[in-house]
Amino acid sequence: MKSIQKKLALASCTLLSHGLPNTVQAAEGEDWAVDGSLLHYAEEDRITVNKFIGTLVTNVSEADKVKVDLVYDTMSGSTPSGALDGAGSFATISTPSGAGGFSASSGSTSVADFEDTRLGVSVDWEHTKKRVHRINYGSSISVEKDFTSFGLNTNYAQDTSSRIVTYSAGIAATFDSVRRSTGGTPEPFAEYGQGLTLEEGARVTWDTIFGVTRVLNRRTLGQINFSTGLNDGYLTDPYKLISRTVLLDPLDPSQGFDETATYYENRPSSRQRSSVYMSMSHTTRNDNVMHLSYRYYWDDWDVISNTLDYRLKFRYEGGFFIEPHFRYYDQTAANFYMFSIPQETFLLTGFPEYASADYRLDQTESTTVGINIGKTFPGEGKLRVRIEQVEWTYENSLFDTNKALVVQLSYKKLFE
Amino acid sequence: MSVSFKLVLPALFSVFLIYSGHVKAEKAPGFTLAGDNGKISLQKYRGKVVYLDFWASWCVPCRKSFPWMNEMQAKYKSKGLVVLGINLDESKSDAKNFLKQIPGNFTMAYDPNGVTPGKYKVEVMPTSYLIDRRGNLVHTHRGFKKSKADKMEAEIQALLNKK
Amino acid sequence: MKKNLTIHGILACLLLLTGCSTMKDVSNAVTDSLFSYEKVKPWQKGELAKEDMQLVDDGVMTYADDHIYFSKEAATGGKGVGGGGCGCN
Repeated sequence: MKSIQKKLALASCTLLSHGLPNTVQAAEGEDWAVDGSLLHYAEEDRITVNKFIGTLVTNVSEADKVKVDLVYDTMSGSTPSGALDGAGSFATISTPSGAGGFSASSGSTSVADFEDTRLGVSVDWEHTKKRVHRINYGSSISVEKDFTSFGLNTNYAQDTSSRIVTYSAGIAATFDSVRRSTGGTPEPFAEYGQGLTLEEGARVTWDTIFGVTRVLNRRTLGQINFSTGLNDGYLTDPYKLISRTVLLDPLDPSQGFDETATYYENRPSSRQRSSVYMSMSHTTRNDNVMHLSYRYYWDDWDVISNTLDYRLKFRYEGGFFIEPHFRYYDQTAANFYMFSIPQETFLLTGFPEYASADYRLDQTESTTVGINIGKTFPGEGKLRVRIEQVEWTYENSLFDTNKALVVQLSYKKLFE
Repeated sequence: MSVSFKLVLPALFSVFLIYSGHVKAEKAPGFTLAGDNGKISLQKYRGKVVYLDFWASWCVPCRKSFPWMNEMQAKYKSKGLVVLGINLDESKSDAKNFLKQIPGNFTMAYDPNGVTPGKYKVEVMPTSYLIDRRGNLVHTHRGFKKSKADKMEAEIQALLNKK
Repeated sequence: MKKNLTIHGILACLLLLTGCSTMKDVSNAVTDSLFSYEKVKPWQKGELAKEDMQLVDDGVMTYADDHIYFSKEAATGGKGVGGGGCGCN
């Protein structure tokens, strides 16, 4: 059994996270820039991901830049499926913070083992006209055993004549194909191990983004982006499960529950997403560089989220730098998220229209603390290593917390 | 009647010259700045062709423009070309560090307060101006592109050949 | 796990050490940046032209983060699109 972790849709990230004109600008003047990175991501007792990222940027002409990205991931480990363990194992889930705890016995359906590799490639071409107009065309493809993704995007940016303000607009379309490694997708709400095997799940994602970047003063750059997107098609996770539970003592929930059946989950076939993102870079009086950003997100699954990200880079002689990093994140639960389907409700009204016990749709809070240390070789490149610790806490899900350690080593080399 | 006739013709001719584009009667704004050895003022170069370049250590295209400017200065010095670079770094040490890596074998002036670029209405970095022997601002080049180098060299030659 | 606690401890200490600097820098930044707007001339963009000042200054790290959070959290996107900064060429 595998996990939704692997839906690392390279394509949908391309437009929204590559920061196209900015990252490409870093190679201005140099003819080539190559950046290679190794990343190790390890959750406490759960999944491990090792990732290789390679980026190549080159000026093919005075007005054209091409960027090629390559990503290779290997993933392994186990992850919560959303199901609760069989009869006999239960926990008291009475406190809102979910401090009851639960330990899954081996061989349970509540954790799923998996292993997979992924390969992703994306190509971007940026053309500049009259110095102030930039148009970017991008395409990407990502392939793994149970997931394929193909995306196209285009972005247009224009500077004002004083080069103080840049307006940009972009659109992206991504086509994904989702299936289990054993083939097809499960019948929604069929019992685990039973039911029909339906065809592959297909979905389309449309994303648009409008942004304004502005020079606020000699030491500050600010940006605000408005994004909106639509997912349409098969949005369910074909591996995720949800259990039906019955209270051991109908009059006293603190006595715990028993799991009576486990089903495949079912999600809506469309999702409308929006966000407002504000970002700023600022050189302080001490010559340190601060990056601060905030995103407010909301969608029609009733997920509302806040993300705050802060970095402060201390720069030293010889090009050395130390950059602590802090990130805070929270989200409300999706409106069809539920820990389990209660027997009482089930007997009255049957299955709800949609239900998922996927912890990633649960009410969540997360903090990341990290440090990035490196050395810049002016005109030559940059070497850096970072270590981060991420911790997620869940309101309702089976496992209260998830901790992950991230280590990433990267080296960038410039060529004339 | 003959008096007014004597005035009308030159007047008309001047107007013709000004608006024909053959002679841009715009004088290059004057300045006096600190140089490596004493003061530098534009007045001093009347009679020479001046290639005036506004640059800074952080300006990436300047890494490509400097070798070309060195080449031009060496090639046309005897014919009367003066390549004059005006550095706009707020800190002189930044300029020095740049010059250590990429030498500028031409006249250097320093304007850390950014007084001169305003006079020349500089819009991007770098911007260069070609000033003829009479002190007129003839050509403006925004940015630096190697592909334009030949055209700029032809412009320099044309101005050097003009009396 | 003890290993994670130690790392978390070290990171927390580092953050605390930079904390005072952070506090000062943040309060200065608020006054220096958010409330002082100026029309920056092209030749005054020395600081803004530095790679460190790009909003996405490290592509491979931003890319990795976006993937990690995309796969573990419900909210996605928001970044992307750029411009501004250098008055070059």
